[in-house]
Amino acid sequence: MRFLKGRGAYVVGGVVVALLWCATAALGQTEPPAATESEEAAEAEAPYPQFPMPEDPGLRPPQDVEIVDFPDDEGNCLLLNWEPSPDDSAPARPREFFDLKRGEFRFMSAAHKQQRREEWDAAAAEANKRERSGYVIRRKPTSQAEFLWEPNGETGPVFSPVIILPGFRQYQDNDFQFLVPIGEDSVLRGESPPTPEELLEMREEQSLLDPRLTRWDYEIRYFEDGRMSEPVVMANTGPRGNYYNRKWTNVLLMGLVSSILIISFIFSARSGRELYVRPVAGLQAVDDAVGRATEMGRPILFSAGFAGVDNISTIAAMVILGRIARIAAQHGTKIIVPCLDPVVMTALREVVREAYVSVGRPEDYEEDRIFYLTGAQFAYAAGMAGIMVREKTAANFYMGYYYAESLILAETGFMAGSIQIVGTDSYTQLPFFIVACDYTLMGEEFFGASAYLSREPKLLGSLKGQDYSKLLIAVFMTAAILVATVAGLAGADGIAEWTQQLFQYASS
Amino acid sequence: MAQQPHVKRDIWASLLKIDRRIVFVFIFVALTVPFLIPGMNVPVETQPPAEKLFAAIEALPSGSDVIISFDYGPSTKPELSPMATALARHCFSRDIRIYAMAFYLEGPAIGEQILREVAEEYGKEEHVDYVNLGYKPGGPAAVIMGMAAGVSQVFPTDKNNTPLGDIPAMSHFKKLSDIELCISLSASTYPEAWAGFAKARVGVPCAGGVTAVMAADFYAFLDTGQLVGCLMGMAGAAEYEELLVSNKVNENAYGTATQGMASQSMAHIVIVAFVAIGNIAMYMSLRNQRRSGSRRRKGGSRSVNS
Amino acid sequence: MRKQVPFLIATVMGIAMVAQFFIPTHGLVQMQSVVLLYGRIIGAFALVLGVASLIRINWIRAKRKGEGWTYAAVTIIGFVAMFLAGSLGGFFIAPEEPAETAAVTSESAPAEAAVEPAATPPQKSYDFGAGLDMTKNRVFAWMFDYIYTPMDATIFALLAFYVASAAYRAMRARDLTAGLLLGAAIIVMLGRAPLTSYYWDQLISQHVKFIPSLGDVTEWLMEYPNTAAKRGVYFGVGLAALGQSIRILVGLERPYMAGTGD
Repeated sequence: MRFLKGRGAYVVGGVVVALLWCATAALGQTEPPAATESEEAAEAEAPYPQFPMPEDPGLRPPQDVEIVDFPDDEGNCLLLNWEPSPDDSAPARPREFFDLKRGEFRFMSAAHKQQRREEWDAAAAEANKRERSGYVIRRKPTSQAEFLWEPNGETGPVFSPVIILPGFRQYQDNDFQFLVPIGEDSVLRGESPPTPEELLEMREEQSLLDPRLTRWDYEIRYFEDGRMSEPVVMANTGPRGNYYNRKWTNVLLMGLVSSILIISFIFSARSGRELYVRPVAGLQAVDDAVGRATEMGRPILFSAGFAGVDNISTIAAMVILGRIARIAAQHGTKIIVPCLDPVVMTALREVVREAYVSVGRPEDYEEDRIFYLTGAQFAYAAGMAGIMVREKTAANFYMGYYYAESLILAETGFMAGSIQIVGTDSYTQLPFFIVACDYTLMGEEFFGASAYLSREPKLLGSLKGQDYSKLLIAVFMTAAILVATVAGLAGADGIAEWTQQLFQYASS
Repeated sequence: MAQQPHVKRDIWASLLKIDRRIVFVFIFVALTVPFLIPGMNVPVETQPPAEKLFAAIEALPSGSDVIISFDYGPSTKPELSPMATALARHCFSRDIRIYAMAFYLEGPAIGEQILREVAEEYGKEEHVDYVNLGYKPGGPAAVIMGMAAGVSQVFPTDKNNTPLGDIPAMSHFKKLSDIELCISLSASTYPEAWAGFAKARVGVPCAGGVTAVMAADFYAFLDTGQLVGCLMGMAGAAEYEELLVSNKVNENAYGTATQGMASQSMAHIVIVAFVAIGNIAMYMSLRNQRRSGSRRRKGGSRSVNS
Repeated sequence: MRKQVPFLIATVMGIAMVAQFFIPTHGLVQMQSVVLLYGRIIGAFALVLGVASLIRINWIRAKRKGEGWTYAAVTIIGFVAMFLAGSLGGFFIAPEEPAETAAVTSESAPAEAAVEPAATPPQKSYDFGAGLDMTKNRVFAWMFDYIYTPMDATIFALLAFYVASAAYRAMRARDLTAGLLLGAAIIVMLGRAPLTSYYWDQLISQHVKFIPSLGDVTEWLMEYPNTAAKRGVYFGVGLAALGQSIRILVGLERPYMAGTGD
């Protein structure tokens, strides 16, 4: 029995207790957990507030309620602002859960992580409270007599009450898709909200009101533990359409300045001023590549990238294709253009056909050389790789926007021994293209390619304008950084903040 | 005596031009062997982009609503699906509802499979705890802004043609602003579109999960707060799995991403080794050339532009 | 006339779309959505053209039995098989059991239970929409899972090999800048690999104070130098795109009419 002494005794005792506990648990298993489950279920279901609640004059409604038109929009949004009811003890909360701009999770220590975790738990505990108190908002068209708690078949499904968490001080009402029937005669019947098809039908029949033309009433109440305060009613308001989006003022200003610079340089170039534009190796190589293909009697492969026809990269690619196709047409070199997007295919066919016509060889144009390969990313890469290997293309041009398939294209072309020229603004793929291709036109070189290639003064002028705009941006940014830094050091936080705000919209 | 340096140079010269098939064989071995050795899991250290996303979901109260947009196809499934699994586990463990959708034709099928598996794990039900809205063509601008006006305008039914009115979970998701977080898993720039529309115009926080090839693109979005977090490649997925385990969300969260980390580590080491060999060979052959008085410069590859 | 009309359309539409960005009035917003809708409609028709061109080219190639005709044949067979599985797959779908559906609905949403059984649509003998529903159309799902997915993933996986061979070939410290780039690349590669980054931290940076963690250095490289370079490229791209747009709007360049104007 020596093993029962010391540590062994605890082990044996522990095992016996555990066995006993298991046995008891197994025997009495059915009853207690069932009760817990039902309790949990009740807990889960009960807190969702049921309206209407009895009105309690002791509860104070939210203060300073105001309704403003949501600025800078089409006119389908209203903003309700209020100060919390004095009975609302929740801390004022913004919509976003934590401040991300400060990057506080960077290089977190273990203690910091623990602290975070506690904060999250507290937030979760507080969130549980949300079902028990908060604000309730109702809306009705002014023409309707009473606010409703539930959509009613008689007067139409107008607006379900909105429940706002405690601590919030603003509600953005853009829920105007449940439009209201005109007048009393075209009332929506039935319990469920109209389906989209029905809505569309009603809109076509003009039986729905435009929210901008309707006047609306709102009421807001504070509620807590099954009682609610008296309402604050805001009558006869409505959203307005705005004629100018103020958020984009800085974009507009910068766009205008840059556009004026570019256009003025185009004009000054027109008047015969000499403009120097630095040579770009990749562009000088375009003609050589086509020449090489002609000498070798092998075809040229051109890809316009993975973007749609509405993308500026694709448009730039079309301009370059026009140039390449003209040279190819002159030399009688075969050009193959597999496409990813059927709309792009149609546009590129037109470009190549025009090129053949412009050099007086429309009979050499073969439509089937510009064809739809597939719409799938890697199937396209595989197809392109197959064409490179089978057709032994002498020169490959990749112009436009690319994704992860870039290296598959470029490396296969390298293995096949083709001259490869790339023009792209897809930043992530540039490294892959640079290592595997002979020449790479990066970003603006790619967009400026047509100007470089044609050497036409008007086009070169636009490049000059771009450069001056860039200089302007650089100067502006440097100045702003200096001002913000100096102001920050000097303690003038207002100026520092203002400078930061100047850049705010650019990032949102 | 005169022969010795000549032989040496030959070795360096040949190391300068190793046949690419030899490189391929080494990569193949480095990638496959760790998969064949069971239990070869490497320890994963988490990084801020994944930690931020984890914290964002952790900060959501239970009963919140999250969109996971499956903006990828089968090709990038091995890299992005582990992210989806880990995210779904995290959401379901916190009783957060998931609304799946896709800008990629093949996305809904992938999402369906993942969500169903994870839902089974947590005893969640389709239409109550998650909804698969399916694929929508027309581009992110039209779809996201359409959802901002009303989900039913864009998705009249879910993926399997169930009208939204018959789906209980949809009572929590009438328009985009009802959503607490949008996560786009993508092999291209869809998270950017989400940030541009859902975050900038509607004010819903967005996050991303992207392939490693695209990862560099998304750091700027993290800095500006346009994305609350981002999983970068398979490593990001492995980090998320690690976060789930170390924060005791799910003890069995280690999945294919963590498993793949051994392969990925080995492949990276092999690439670095080859790069080192190439550079040493270049240095040595240049030195030998200089010694032998030759001024001819031999590059290892064709002319590469700057 | 042949030149003026397209130019006029391009300029007017271009300016209207720019204006729409700054002017959020209902009319312009509606115009934008109509234009987007037209884009989608044109896309749908263009797809028909595209597929027709794909089939025709491959059909001709397969019929001529020239070099590589088998690839063309495989393309056509693949297209037809996938098309049939997707569209006719609906025939192989077992009809759903209505009782089960009703039970689920009533359990999960008591409010919806009031819906009359008659309101559920009658079972159709063939459901075209269900053809692409992979939970039901097993033929299509099988082809998708076991043919398309592995092939697609294979091509993507080639990247691993190509990255290795391209890195070996191109990453040479030929001068100082190339050396810096090489150093950064190696740090990021090792920092992104959990194995090396973990053991670096365990064996080195935890013992030597001034050596930072590899993961931190990687993050720093990605977040600062990388993002800075990226923004530089983006400024250039943004302005260049503006320049290109102006050239198109004023008619200096007409890509829609093959190249430069005049």
